[in-house]
Amino acid sequence: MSDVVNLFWSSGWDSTFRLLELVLMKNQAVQTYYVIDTARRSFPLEIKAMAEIKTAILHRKPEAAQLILPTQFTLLDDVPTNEQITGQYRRLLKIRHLGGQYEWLSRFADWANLDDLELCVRIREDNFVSTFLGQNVTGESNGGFDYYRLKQDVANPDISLFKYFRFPIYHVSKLEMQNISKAQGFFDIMMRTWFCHSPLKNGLPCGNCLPCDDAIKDGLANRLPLSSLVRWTLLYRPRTKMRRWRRLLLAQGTKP
Amino acid sequence: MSATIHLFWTGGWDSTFRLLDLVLIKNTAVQPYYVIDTQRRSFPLEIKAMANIKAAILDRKPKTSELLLPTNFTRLDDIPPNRRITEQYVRLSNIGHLGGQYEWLPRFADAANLHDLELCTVRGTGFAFNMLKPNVVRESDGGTDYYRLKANLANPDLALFKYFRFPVFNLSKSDIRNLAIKNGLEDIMQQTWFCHSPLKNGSPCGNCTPCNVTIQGGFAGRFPLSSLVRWLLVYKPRTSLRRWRRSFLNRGNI
Repeated sequence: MSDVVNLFWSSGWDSTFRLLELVLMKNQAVQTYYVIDTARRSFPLEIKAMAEIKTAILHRKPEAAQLILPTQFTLLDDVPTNEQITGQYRRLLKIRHLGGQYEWLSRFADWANLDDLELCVRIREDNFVSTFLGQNVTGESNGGFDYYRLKQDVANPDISLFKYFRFPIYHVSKLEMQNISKAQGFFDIMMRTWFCHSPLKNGLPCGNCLPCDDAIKDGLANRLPLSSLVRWTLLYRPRTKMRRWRRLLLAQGTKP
Repeated sequence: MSATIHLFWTGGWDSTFRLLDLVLIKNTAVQPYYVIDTQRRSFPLEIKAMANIKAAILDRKPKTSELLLPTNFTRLDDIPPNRRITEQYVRLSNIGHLGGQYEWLPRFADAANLHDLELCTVRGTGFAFNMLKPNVVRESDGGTDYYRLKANLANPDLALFKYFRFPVFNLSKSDIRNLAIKNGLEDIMQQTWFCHSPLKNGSPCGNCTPCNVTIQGGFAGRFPLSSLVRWLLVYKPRTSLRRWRRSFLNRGNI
C-alpha cells in the first residue's frame, strides 16, 4: 500500500468510519477526495460535516488531524466526459438500478489518475453491490490493510467500471461500525456525520430518501427526528413497497 | 505574464466579469480558485452560481472548455496558519475595517505559492481600496492591464497584498455593468451571487455589506421588495447610527 490512502470521503457514516479508523486507530495518512454535485441538496451539509469532523479530530488528537491531508474538492461539472465509462454505466443500469454517482466517480478516478481510490460501499442482501460486485471481487491484503477489489476476470466486462476502487469496509455493517467506534472512543465524532440526500429546509434529514432508509434499516433510526421517522413510515415505505410489487407484477407478465 | 491567469473567483459580480472578459473576450486561459468558508451562509449559493455560470459560458462558446480550467477548491480550515500574515492583517485592521478575507486570502496564496493571484477589488470607498490606492501601480503584461503593489510602501504591513494583482481596480461596479452590456455579457452576469447572508428561501438579505454595495451601485433591481425594505429600515439606520457613534467618539478624542 502507498504511504497515503486515497479515500473518497462524503462525510457519511461509512466513509467517516474508514477515515477515523485510518487516522485514529492505524495512524495512517489519508488523502480525502470529494466531488461537489450542486444538484444535490445535501452538498452544503456534507461539506459542513467534513469541517466539523476534522475540527473534532483536531481537538481529540491533534497529531491524527495532521494525517488528514487537505481535502481535494472537484466540481462535478469539471470532471471530463468519458464515453467508455458512461457506456459501461448505462449497460449496467439496464441490469438493475445503479446510483448515478458510480458513473461520475469512475470518470473522476480515471481523470485524477487514481486506481486505488477507497470507496466505502457495503454488501447487503440484494443491493447493487451484491449484484455487480458479489462474485467479482477478491479480498486483498497490503501493508497491514485489508480490502476488496475487482478480480482480474470479471463476469461482465462492463463491471470494470469499478476497477478504480478498493472496498475497505465491504463486509462491515453499520452496527459493527457503531460498536467499534464506541469501543475506540470516537462514536461522538461518528454522530457528526451526514447521510440524508434531501435535507429539509430546517437542516434535518428527510426520512424519505435511500440513505435515510439505509440508516433506519441499519439500526440508526435514533439519528432521525420523529417527524422524519413518520415520513419514512407513511411515505417512503409504502412507495418502495408499491414499486416492488409493480416490478414483480411486470416481471410475472413477461414470463412465457 | 504566464499563459494562464490565476483568478480568485467567488461567483460574484466583479470576479465573474473578469473571468468572462478573459475567456470570452480575450481568449485567455484561466485557473479559478475558490476558498470554501463553511461559516459563511452564502458558500453553497456561490458554488451553485459558479456551476451555472460555467455552464452558461460553455453554452455560449463551447471552445472555452479548454480555457476555463477546473476550479481549484480549498476549505478554509485546510489553509495553514501564517503568523507573519495574521499579524500584518491585525495591525492593518486596527487602522480601519478590513474584511476577514484579507487575512486568509494571503495565507492561501502563500501556501499555494501564488504571486500573481488576481483579486477583483473594484474602485470604491471602502477602507481596502483607499488604503491600496496610493500604494499600487498600473502594469501591463501581454496585453492585460492590472494594478499591483508598488516597491516602496507607505506602511510595510501592506505587503499583506504582495501576492495579488488587481485587474479591475480602476473600474466601479457601474463601469463593469456598462462593459458587460457593451460586450454582450449581461445575461451571464445576472447569474452572479453577491449576498453574504442569504435568506432561507435563497433571496439576498438586503442587510449585509455586499447587498448594500450592490444596491448603492445601482442594482436594486436584483433584490426582492422585502430585501429592499430590510435594507431601508434595518441596514441603513444601523450603519448611520454606527457612523454617528464613530464620529462622536472621534470628537471626544480631539
